[in-house]
Amino acid sequence: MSAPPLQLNGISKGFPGVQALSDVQFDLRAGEVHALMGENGAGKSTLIKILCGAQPPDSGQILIDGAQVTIGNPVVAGKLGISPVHQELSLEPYLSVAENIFLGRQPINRFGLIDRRQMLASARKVLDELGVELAPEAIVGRLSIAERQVVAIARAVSTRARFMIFDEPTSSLTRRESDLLLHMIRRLRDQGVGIIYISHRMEEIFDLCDRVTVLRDGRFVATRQVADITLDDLVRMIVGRSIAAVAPRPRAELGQVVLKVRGLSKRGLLKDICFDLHRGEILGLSGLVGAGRTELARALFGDIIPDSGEIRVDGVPINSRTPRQAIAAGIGLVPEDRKEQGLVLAQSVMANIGMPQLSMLSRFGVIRARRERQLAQRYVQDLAIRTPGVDQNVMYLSGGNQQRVVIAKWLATKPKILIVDEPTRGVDIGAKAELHALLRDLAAGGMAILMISSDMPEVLAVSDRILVMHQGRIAGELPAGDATQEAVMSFAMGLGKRG
Amino acid sequence: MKTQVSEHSGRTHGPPNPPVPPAKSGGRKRHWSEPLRNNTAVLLLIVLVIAGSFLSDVFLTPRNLLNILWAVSLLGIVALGQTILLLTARFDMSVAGVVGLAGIVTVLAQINGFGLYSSIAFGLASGVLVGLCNGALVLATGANPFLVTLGVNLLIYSLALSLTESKTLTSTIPEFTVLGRGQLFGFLHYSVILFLALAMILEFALRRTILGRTIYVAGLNEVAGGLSGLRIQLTKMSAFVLCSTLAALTGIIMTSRTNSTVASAGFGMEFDSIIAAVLGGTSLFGGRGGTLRTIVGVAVLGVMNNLLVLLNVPSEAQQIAKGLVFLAVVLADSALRRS
Repeated sequence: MSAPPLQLNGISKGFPGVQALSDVQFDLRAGEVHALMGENGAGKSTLIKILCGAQPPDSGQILIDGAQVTIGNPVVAGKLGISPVHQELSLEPYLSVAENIFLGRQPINRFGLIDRRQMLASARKVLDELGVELAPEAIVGRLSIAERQVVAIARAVSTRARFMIFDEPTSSLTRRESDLLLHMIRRLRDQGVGIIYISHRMEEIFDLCDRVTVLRDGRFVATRQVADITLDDLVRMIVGRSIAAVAPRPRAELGQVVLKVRGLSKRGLLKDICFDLHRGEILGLSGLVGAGRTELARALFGDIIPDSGEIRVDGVPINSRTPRQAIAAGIGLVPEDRKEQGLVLAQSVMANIGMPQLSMLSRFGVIRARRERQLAQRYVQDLAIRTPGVDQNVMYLSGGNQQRVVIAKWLATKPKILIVDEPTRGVDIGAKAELHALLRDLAAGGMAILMISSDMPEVLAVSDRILVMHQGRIAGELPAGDATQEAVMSFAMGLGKRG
Repeated sequence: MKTQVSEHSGRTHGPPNPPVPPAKSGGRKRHWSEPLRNNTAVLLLIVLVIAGSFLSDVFLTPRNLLNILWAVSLLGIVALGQTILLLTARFDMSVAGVVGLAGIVTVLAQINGFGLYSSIAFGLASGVLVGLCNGALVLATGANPFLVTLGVNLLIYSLALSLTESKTLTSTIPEFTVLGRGQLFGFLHYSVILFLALAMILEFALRRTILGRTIYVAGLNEVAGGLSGLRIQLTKMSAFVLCSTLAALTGIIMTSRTNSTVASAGFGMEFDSIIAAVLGGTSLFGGRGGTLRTIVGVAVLGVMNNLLVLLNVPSEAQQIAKGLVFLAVVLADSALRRS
């Protein structure tokens, strides 16, 4: 049998203080989608960086069509046909789709100027090949995240890449957009492109991928045919232990109403939102991206001021016009984007945990250092946050632990209501199960939790009750026991089947 | 809930964690010297002092060292305010105008019959007012603070010129000069004491108060700060007002030293104050630095100038030296950060 088109043998890479990869092997065939899996920190990104020429390996070989190559920099990688489709998209927002696709390789006319007509035509051809309708003249800055991803893919396709790397491509896409993307990836595969696919979403792996390679702590675990393994097998390979599947929690009797929302409206965002949230309840809030879920959270938290409607906490109307007032009323918000909205990454775990209640920790405006430290230590211990100490800067913690710090800072304020927006986005599977267990513990302790999530299995498994939003309205309510993905989706798409 | 004491797992995502720098956020028991360590400017200062002791017999005399402090204390006070604003990731280019304006307002108040303290209050109030203006313009419009305060600087300067009809004004209260010329124990100028005391008070405020914490957060991630209930807008406004008020204080002391004033009294201080703060190790991008560091930055500038004067170097060359040292520190810092 001939050599595989792309093969990595015995790749090792160390950084001061840590061995990121040791003796890892990997191979990619033409026309396959090969999943690369592992927890955050397992070495996936380092392997990809080595493949793309961003970092040299300490040892090991890279073979293309059986011949050893040295990938010294990204340009060499490009020439060898290796093309990453970045998670953080590196597009020029002020240029058009066509200009972005051919950036640095624009066709030139006989005057040495860019041949716009040819560029637009070529761009259209590439987009047609992908089967998407996107105007080559459109300015990239005005496109949705999904459309930008299409542009990035089109750029890779236009270079006639043989090997494409997708790193968490669907993490910020809606269901429908994801489906479109997966369709596109299959199309590329059928054209003979070898695809490395990184994702935490298990359904996608089983749905899309042919083989899967698992890394753990920088070591190669196994490469398997996806068809030959079960979800349990895969999870065990990834975490090195088995995790109890997300079992539906026993339903408790609903407690008193803590949060009562009536007729909450905000022009263009929210329409006549009414619901109750009970003590000890986890209320799942589902819906497509843009349905108004995050806006509802922000309105409850005083970050958006509603035009009309009423919010009552424990029967007392609150009228928060700033997050500060919402916090005083007993509401905490774990926001969607923990790095941009939840944490001050360059500050310590202690400073982050103390942040929402500095005035409680202070006397005459002077922060009482010992109290702040004790508070942080207590919550680091309670939530089992893995950090060398409370003085560690948050930026050095893993995603799951960062999310725990955000939760810790709100728990420290002893809120009645905790709103969590996409609590497990970008968190690896082990940490995800732990976060779910944590949310349940909190609810069992009497906290009222409003959980926004695009992760359907999460919503179904963790919530007691599910609200589905569509175009700024509550489109439906489902008790968790009866809810199915299909039922939630039909409300989310505005199809509805009330009663 | 489980209790777990675990080692940091040492696993990393991509490149490994660099050695953990000291948390910038205060609270921890820190050695008194911590704000000064890992600081290029401290090394530079030591080198300059050692070099100076060889190059000139006069340099290391107490009298000369006190002279240096006296010479830089005014720029120093402006630089303290600038440091606070830099920590919030903003600048104030109008400090130069405020230095001139505050002196003029104070002296004009005296000429119009106000007493010593009320005239000084007028001078300080002019600074507060400009700070409020700067803050309101920047915060309300979201315009670039550099450009807004540059524009405000032009306005203030023209206002100062028309107030004085481009002439030099003289104070009418003899005791006024005590502020600028007075000395404690016959050798320590009040302005020096004021500069050092302010630096220490502000450092304490930055490290240990809610205001200080919010200033750092405003420079690092104001969205997260706002969503945690911190008063970000109010804090940014306070930083503008503080910066401008310290510039006004400087203008008043300067006027008191020379007993007279001109609109251009603060010429060049907008850039020099930023240079001193950045030299000391305060980041231009907010969130990193402190006012003790700025003492070092100011001292480097002062020692260098002093040495060049002692060595009879012409004044053009002094500017060149300032530029070179600044570039060297900026480049060394970014090289260190990259490695």
